[in-house]
Amino acid sequence: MNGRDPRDAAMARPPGDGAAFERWLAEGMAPDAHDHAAGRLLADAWRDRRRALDREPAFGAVATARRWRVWWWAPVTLMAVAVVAVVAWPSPAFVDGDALARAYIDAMGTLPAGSP
Amino acid sequence: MTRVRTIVALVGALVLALAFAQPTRTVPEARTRSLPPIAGEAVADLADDAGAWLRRMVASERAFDFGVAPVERSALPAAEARGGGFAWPAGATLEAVRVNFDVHWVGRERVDGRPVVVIELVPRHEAPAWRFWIDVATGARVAYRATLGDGRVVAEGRGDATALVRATAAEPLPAPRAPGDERAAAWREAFGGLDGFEPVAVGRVLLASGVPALRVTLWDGLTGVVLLAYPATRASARGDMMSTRSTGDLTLALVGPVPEATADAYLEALSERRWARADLATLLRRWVPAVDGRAEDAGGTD
Repeated sequence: MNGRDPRDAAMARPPGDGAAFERWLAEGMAPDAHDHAAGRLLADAWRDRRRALDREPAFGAVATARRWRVWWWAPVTLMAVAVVAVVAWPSPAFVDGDALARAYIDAMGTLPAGSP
Repeated sequence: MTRVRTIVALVGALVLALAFAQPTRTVPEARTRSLPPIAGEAVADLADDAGAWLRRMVASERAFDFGVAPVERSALPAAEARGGGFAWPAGATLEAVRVNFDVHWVGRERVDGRPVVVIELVPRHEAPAWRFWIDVATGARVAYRATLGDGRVVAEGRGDATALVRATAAEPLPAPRAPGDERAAAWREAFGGLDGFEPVAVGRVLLASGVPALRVTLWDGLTGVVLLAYPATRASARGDMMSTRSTGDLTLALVGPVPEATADAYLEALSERRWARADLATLLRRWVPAVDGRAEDAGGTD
């Protein structure tokens, strides 16, 4: 090393103008970039950028809409199953007047027969 | 991911279909088939002997069918009549009727041009009084009305008397024994019955939603009352002709056409007994002993 931190050089002067830098990022690094100290630093910067993208805050209308577009079926299915469970799975401890009336019908329908 | 989504959607659709698919109940159609009319089988006129007419009615009950299903109204839903006749009463036990009712001769009338006799059975206990209109020619009942002491009509019905036809496979009016099976007899010894009503059956049933219950059927000869004991629920059941009372772990319910005061007093008397503070499992072990290791099921509603 020549006593200068190569990262300074890389950060101070990215190759080309801003558009070229973006293109660089978009297209990936040049094949020989890894041979160059500045190129390695750019690779690190690219990696950091990827990680930052991965850690993008999970809020905001755009992020929500993007996730909803992918995962909409999960909450919809869960809610449908929940509604069905509530409707079709009444509490076993629930006995109402209709249940008692049915029990009466059943009892009258199964009177033990005997000789008159 | 698409496959998982498809499977989840299919399972959801299946659950929905199962949840909303109700079993279809078949409603018996009105019997409109044409059968040969009664000819030359008129019964002897029994003069004004109300008891004799009652015996004749019980014997003829459901030996005759109606050309059109009889029209009935009642405060409580009734079991489907066996044989296509009236649903009320569910049976008749003449021995119990003799003990519990005074049989009165009311008079003679004409219904749809046919001569009928009218008799009334007035209970000696708190229960409905029954009035029957009996066809003179056949002995079959063409109308009835059950009335409580305060004038409330518990059940009434009327059939088309002009369409009386002879049934090909008639069932006699079932005659429940009193006191019934051994368990009912034991129950009677232990607790007695409701005034005028004798226990005729004790069993385990499943109420709606699969709630197990102890069921005691009480019978006065014409009217049935059902006592149910089931685990205490968070909602009390309400309705016409039914009373409930909570006793710790249990809810006691009395269903049947008796005055509310009578039902409440009976439930209160029962709830003061020690057994009412037991849990249902103990109660069922005592009154419905296991048969071959399995709890006996005396019929269920579901």
